[in-house]
Amino acid sequence: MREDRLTGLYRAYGPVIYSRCARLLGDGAAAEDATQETFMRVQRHLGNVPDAGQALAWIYRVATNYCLNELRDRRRRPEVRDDLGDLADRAGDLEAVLVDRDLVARIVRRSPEKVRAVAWLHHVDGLDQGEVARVLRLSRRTVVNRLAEFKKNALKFIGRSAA
Amino acid sequence: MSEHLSSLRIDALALGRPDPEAVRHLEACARCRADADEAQRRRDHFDRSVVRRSAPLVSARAQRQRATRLLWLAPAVAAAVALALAIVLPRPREPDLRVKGGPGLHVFARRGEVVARLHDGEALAAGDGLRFVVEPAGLGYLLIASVDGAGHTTIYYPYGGRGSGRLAAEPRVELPGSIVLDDAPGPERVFALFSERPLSAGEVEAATRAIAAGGADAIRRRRALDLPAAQTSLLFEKVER
Repeated sequence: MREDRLTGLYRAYGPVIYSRCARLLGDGAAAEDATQETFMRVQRHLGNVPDAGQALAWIYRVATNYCLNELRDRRRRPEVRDDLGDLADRAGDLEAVLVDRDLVARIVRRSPEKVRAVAWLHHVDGLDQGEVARVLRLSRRTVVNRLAEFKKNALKFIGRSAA
Repeated sequence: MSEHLSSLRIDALALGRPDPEAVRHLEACARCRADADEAQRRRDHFDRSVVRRSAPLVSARAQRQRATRLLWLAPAVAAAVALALAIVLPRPREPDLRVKGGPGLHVFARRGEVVARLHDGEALAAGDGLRFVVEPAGLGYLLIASVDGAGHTTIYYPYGGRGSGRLAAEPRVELPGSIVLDDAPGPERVFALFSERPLSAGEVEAATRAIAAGGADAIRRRRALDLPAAQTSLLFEKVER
């Protein structure tokens, strides 16, 4: 009976978790692993939350942190560099860069750990500051401060890349 | 408030949370509709392909977690329970189930001057180059082979070899050299076969011929060969450019 319940939760939430992880990691196989890891960490809570909104907050928090850590660990290993040549066209124009979600995703992956989850949820996933605060269980002020820090780092990054 | 829906709101709709405003927005906004469609495709892929092979692994992991907790509570009883679970639970089958912590394959494609990580299902053309980076996860032998829509098998690593090559005992290994693709159009699937003992090229070629006999759809659908090895594979589509 307990395994049926667990399998039921996995079938119910697995698709959304997988979709989230695939969006973050861009790799189906890695997303499968991340889905299992995320589900194992949230499944104790999923059965107790009263609605989908709270379930999603758990999923977003755990999946985002897990997947961003995976991306950080990948970058520590030598690999062929992605092409970032298009940054040269937008050097100095941060607002133009922030509108391009793929480009922002690449900058987020290179940002300090503290700001990564906040920046990804806001600039790539489109969550407003209140939603980011709710998902990550931070104060709104902290979210605002981390977004400001991310923008400062992004400006430095695009300035260096265009040079 | 943003002019577009956040992914959180789109995912909440998918979980059945009522949001009439979001539904109206999706009818009017092409970008959000595209985001929602892409998320739906990923969820569909999970339902079609992923859940079947991963649900037993998740269940097994949960069982092991509970068994581990029991071990701390009542050693004698817990040991008996853990033993019973180990006998009853099926071991994950290789090669068609991917186990957490298993070996990995990363493929990088050069298209002209651009080099980027290749993802499953992407398009490539004649003259594009491939390089491989693998994570052996402790397994000492590797053979990389591909099969294309014309039924041809190519041994990419060791290039032209007659059997698996030895791998360095490193967590991540970049394989020497690069492959330049020919102009045979259609799907091509690359299989990375990791093993504790070397496989022969002959048995790998027989396994790839068996898949190729099913045509292009089989190459797109089958992610593993019927061989005793830990495997991962990646599909790309060769097109004219």
